[in-house]
Amino acid sequence: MKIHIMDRAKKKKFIAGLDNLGMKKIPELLVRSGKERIRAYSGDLSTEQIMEIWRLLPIEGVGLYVGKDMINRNGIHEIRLSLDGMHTWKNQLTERVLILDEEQELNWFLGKDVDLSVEQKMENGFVSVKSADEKDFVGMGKVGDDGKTLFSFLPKERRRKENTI
Amino acid sequence: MKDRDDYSEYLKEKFPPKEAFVERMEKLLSKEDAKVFFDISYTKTPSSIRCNTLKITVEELKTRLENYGWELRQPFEKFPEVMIIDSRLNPGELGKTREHLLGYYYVQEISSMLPMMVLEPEAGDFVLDLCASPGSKTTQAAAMMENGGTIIANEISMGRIGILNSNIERCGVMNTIVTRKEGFALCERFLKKTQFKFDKILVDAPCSGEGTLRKSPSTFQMWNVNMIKKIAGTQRRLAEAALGILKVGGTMIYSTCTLAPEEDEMIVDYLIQKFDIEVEKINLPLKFRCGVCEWEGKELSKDVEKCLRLYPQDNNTDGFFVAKIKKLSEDKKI
Repeated sequence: MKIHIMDRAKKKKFIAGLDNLGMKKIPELLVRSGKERIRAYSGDLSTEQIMEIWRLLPIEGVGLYVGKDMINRNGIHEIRLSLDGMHTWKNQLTERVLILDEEQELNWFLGKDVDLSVEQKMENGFVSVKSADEKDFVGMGKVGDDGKTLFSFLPKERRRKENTI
Repeated sequence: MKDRDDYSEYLKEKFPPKEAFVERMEKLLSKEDAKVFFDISYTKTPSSIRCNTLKITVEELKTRLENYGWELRQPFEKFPEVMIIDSRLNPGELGKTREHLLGYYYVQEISSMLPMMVLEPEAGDFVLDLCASPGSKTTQAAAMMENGGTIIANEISMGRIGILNSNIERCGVMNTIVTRKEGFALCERFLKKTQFKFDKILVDAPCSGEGTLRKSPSTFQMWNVNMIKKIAGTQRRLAEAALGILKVGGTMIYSTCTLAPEEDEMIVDYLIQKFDIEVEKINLPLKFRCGVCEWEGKELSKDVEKCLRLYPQDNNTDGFFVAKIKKLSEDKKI
């Protein structure tokens, strides 16, 4: 796996891309792996030590996958957080928070897109999605251009196969 | 109750133990105790989970799970994150809750939690988990280290790396570097090409799995003595190589989920003969037995008695073996 440890300027740019969600700082080291995946490493090793291990061994991951920095299908630059990235910095996610109702939450965990109510209508773009009881962030979604549909990015392994709980 | 009895009878018929296996267990235990061992081996272990303290507090998780009607028990005062679910759950229920999907707990058998409870990794430690997949012990260590220090989590199989990475992600582990290398070769590279030495190492070696019959009864069919001897060679190589990259004064845990002395005490005995190490006594609030000092006519070092042997019938868990080894110097005896 190719890795690139982000310098201060690149890190600042990444954080700026999440500013609309409320993100202000990331204390961990950020590592780009592959084309678009961003990972955060909180350990004690220095950049040089990590690279020394990378030269020594096949590395399959450094730290936690926290988000993507990519060009979308329409050629637009986008930055979004992963579910676990959201959990890591949950205290900073104060803007564009969308709270689901119970039925929407069930659909969310099945990986389905969610129809939003009039009260939930939001400007298009990424939102931090919260559970109906407002206790948990349950993933990042994207509100469509009409402002009425929430598209899910919940990975398959974090979904339920059926609604049984 | 009838369902459980039927299940046991079905397994006994489908997966009878081989005669040589019964004989060995009778030698290790006694005829009566071996019978108890085989009887419990055809039953399921209780469901147990470990609260992922990187994402939620023990109290909050407990409250939430009790709201599902689950009866929870925390068997260890020192490790409140460990919970046994006493109520009967529907199939798959443990993995379907929101809390599981979000990574707030890890479904893990109690015996598999022991190596890290003994190793006690702390923030600031440089830790190697040599055979890391599926990641139960790596994620447990990361939680104990509060995402500080660094863990090198190694796994040889590409398929199993996927499972390891998936569990590391779900648990929000940030202090880990995942590597893909044969364990022996990884240690050799660290030893010959770098100055890195580890504070703590876990060698949870691949094994014949005699301790995991309750969750994989097909092990009864696969069991044979030749396999044990073959695996023992690999285990010895792994443990020996890992000792080479442990700091002087550092701790290595050698563990397996098998009860065959060739894969357990005899590996530790080999290390005692070859290296300047000390086997340390293990203190855990569980009923466990000492390591065996004699097997098949071979006398082993008295020190292997300090190893931990966990039989399923003693605590209603899987079977396990744990040795805690302290490296005293870089000297070799032979």
